[in-house]
Amino acid sequence: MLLGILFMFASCDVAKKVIDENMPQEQDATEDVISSITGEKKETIEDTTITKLSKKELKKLKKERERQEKIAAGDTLGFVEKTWRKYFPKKVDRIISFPNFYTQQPKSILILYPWNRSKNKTAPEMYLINLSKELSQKGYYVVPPLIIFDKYQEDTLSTAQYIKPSEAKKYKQEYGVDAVMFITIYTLNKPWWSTNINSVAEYSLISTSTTDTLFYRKADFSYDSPIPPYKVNKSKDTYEFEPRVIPLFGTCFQMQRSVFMDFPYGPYHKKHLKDQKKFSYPKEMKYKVDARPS
Amino acid sequence: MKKILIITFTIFVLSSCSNALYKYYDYDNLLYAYGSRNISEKEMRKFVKKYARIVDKPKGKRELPPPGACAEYGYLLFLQGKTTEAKEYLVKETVLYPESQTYIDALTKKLGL
Repeated sequence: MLLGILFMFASCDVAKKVIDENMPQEQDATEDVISSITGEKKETIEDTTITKLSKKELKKLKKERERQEKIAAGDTLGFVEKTWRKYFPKKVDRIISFPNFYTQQPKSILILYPWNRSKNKTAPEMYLINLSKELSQKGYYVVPPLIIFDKYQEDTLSTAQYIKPSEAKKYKQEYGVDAVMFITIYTLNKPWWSTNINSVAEYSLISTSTTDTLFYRKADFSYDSPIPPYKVNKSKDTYEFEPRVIPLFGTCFQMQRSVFMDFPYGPYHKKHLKDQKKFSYPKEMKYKVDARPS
Repeated sequence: MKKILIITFTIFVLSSCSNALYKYYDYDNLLYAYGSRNISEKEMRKFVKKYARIVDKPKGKRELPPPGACAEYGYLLFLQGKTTEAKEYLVKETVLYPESQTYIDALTKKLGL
């Protein structure tokens, strides 16, 4: 039995050798043919550049590459400085943040009906009312929201979604305004399980004479406090706010105040052009009003 | 005692001062109601009456109606059929705020005033 098995193994091995020797080999014979014709020797390439790196060296190399990528992306701050800047942003003068603003000095502003991407149906109304009030208090002439509402309902004025900033020039002729405000509302909601009200929106003010961006800001505003964000006028009439609307409207009101805190003053304000060297916020901001009792 | 009185008086004076250029009264409630739901004719009359305070009793630092308020009020009067009064307020808007001239002209033309 044992002899039989050994014989089988030996015969298999012999058979394999015979097959390997007689089978045609897959080789690129073109170089051999060329070398036989020209008489030159076939070149053999040996890779000598491969160097084995230790784990430590590999880690170092990886870190260096990451650093270079960060520098290329413009992120040169260290972790500590970056975290510090997150909470205490670098002070920049308004004249540097909004250079076009001070050169063009817009006087009148048209706020287009906001592009509502949130689930709140009345968010555009809340934004329009609060923003027009805020800009008026800053010293600008704002085309009244009531007329915008009616124009929008009549379909003679579309939302900010369908108008490109490059088309802003036509509003100079139609309304005689110096700038047009485009608003995109991303969220305005208060989840039932939370006391936090969140609102995210993007604002861009475009000049109607040059189509330059005079002001741009994307804001993420959170209001978390048992104190109502807005003092309601208690009038005994049919126009009183519904209780569920008050916190949302109030948050919207607080948001406009925060976002436009560093907005340059307009010609009807006594501080007009006197605020050029005042503090200005970054273009993208997270605002949080958290006044919960501990 | 004198010092306390002076401090209290100063606080009272400072707290009564407002930096707001214009006073809006219950503009928010009114405009939100107008923008978010349909208003009946009866409600509209009440609405215009309420709105009149913003235009006729201006307060704030400038002591003038806020920008656009006269135009809005004029437009509301037009919706009620008071065309002569409506035109008056639209003209008042252009006098107070000359930059409104272009769209007020267009609005007056559109309303046939």
